[in-house]
Amino acid sequence: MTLSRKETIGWLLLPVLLFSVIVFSLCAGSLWINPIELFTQDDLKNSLIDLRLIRCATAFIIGGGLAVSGTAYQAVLKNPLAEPYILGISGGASLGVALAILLGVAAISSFAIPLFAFVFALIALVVVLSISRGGLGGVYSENILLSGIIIGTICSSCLMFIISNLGSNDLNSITWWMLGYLQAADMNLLATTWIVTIGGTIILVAYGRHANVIALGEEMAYNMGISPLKTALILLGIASLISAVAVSLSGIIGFVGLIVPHIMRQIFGADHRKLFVLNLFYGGIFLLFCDTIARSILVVQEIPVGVITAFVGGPFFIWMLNRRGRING
Amino acid sequence: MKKILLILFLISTITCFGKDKGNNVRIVSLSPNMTEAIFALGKEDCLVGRSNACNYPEAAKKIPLAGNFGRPNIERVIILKPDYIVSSAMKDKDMIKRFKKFNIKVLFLPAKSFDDYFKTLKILGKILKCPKKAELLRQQSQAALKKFKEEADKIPVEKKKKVLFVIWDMPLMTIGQDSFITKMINYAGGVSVTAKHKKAYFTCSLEWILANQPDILVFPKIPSLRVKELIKRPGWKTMKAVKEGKLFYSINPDLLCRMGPRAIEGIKELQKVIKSVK
Repeated sequence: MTLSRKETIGWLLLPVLLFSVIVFSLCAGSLWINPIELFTQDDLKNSLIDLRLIRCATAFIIGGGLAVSGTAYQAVLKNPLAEPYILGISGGASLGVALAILLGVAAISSFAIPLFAFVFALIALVVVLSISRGGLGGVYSENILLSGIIIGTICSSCLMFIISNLGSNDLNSITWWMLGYLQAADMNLLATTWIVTIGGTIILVAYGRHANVIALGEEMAYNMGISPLKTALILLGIASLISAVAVSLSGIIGFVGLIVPHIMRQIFGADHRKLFVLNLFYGGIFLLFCDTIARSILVVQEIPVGVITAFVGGPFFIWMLNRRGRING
Repeated sequence: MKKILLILFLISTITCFGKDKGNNVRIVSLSPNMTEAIFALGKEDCLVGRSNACNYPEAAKKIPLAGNFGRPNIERVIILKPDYIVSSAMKDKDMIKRFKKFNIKVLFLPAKSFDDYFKTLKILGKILKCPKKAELLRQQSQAALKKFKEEADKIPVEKKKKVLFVIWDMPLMTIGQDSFITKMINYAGGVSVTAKHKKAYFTCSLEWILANQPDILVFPKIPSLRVKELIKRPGWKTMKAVKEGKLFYSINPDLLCRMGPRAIEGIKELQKVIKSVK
């Protein structure tokens, strides 16, 4: 297999970028630690690095998971606007979180929010998949997309009703949750997210060839002896599980699952066996970088990471699109 | 016969309301600090409506609801026929115009500092026709504040305890320079660790707190179960105050978060906490 120049650079850059972003995220923050002094012993420094390591692990796996799941969605739904939240997962999860806050269980245990988010995300997903079954004989991807949008809208109107009835204090915690927050509260939850995301990615890579075929169209899949419906459901199911876990750990973080897969596809081509792995790493690197900026740009205060992903990712994405336009034109 | 009865009933209710209006000012309070101030002035008879957040004193809960905190329910307010609506927060500023049509005056009285509270007392004294009582209340509170300040000034600056006031933990919400709670901590003889940040309330980075270790953590709004769980989390568990057990979560949040007559009690509670830490 010969690699194009762009691809070779992309692969070579990966370990370098990964290493430097991890070092950057450990050094930067409200207090700058000199990279040379990272391993010297000091109480304050140790506790800061502990904290940053956990945050680093959270940001990386969430970013990677969202990008992998976005890749799968875009392949199956054949829609460039598909992203991890499109099947009502974010709507369901937000509704769950709002309920947890409204019922007061969120105040009692920090497990309540992730649990409610996860359960409601899965409920929304099951509802979406089962109502879209009605028209599954024909154009399944449009049906799934539309059902996702309908369930998402229903969830968000319930959410608005709850929000209009919450006090200002609770309102704050739910808006923050909806913007994404990457300080994992519990190590077990973080470990679960790692296992699900890595495991899910491995399964997706195994189905990579099927994803390639299905991305070309249903007819092609039939001709190649692949059941498009079954494959689509498997790919969507795994991608949704990954994003549901990501949403429950750290709220809704936009943009990662939409633009990283697009950029990867432009650089590395459309072979999903490679794409899933690359998205896991580059998605992780991207979110880790954004989160480090979010927590170091204003000393004392923290900015929601979703704001940074949009600011960093948006212009870069537009630049990529324009560049392609110029080359092609 | 039925019609006559109905007309009689209508006339009687109208005259009843008319009489009532003649005697007393009718007032709706949409914020708990105002409700408490009206009770403190002894004018609870004038209070015809309250917000869902007004829960003190116990008798306040018997007053009919007129809306949410800072958000009146127009129909309910009109049914209650008040002369005034008072609130320290107003979500929709157009309300003032809308109620003008019904001859209801809306007084939006901010409650962001003790000065604001004293102004509010003066205005309430005027409209409730008890200026002397209001002035007395103001003098008492001011005397108490002066005493707190004298006591606090005796503690040298470098020995003042640094307090972290935690409003919420995920994300970490705390108070800044513009919050009256920062002032209350000063009156109680401590300093807020985040006092330099120019905002009333903000999301603080946990790292910054670790770099500027507080001596005392106060969590008035977080249930004790959650506090016990959160101090085991990474970052929190390495905090000096957590290791030394300087955690306080039993103060009634309403004493600290309402700029009203009970704020003085709030300072007293904070003072107790700060004094108890050696």
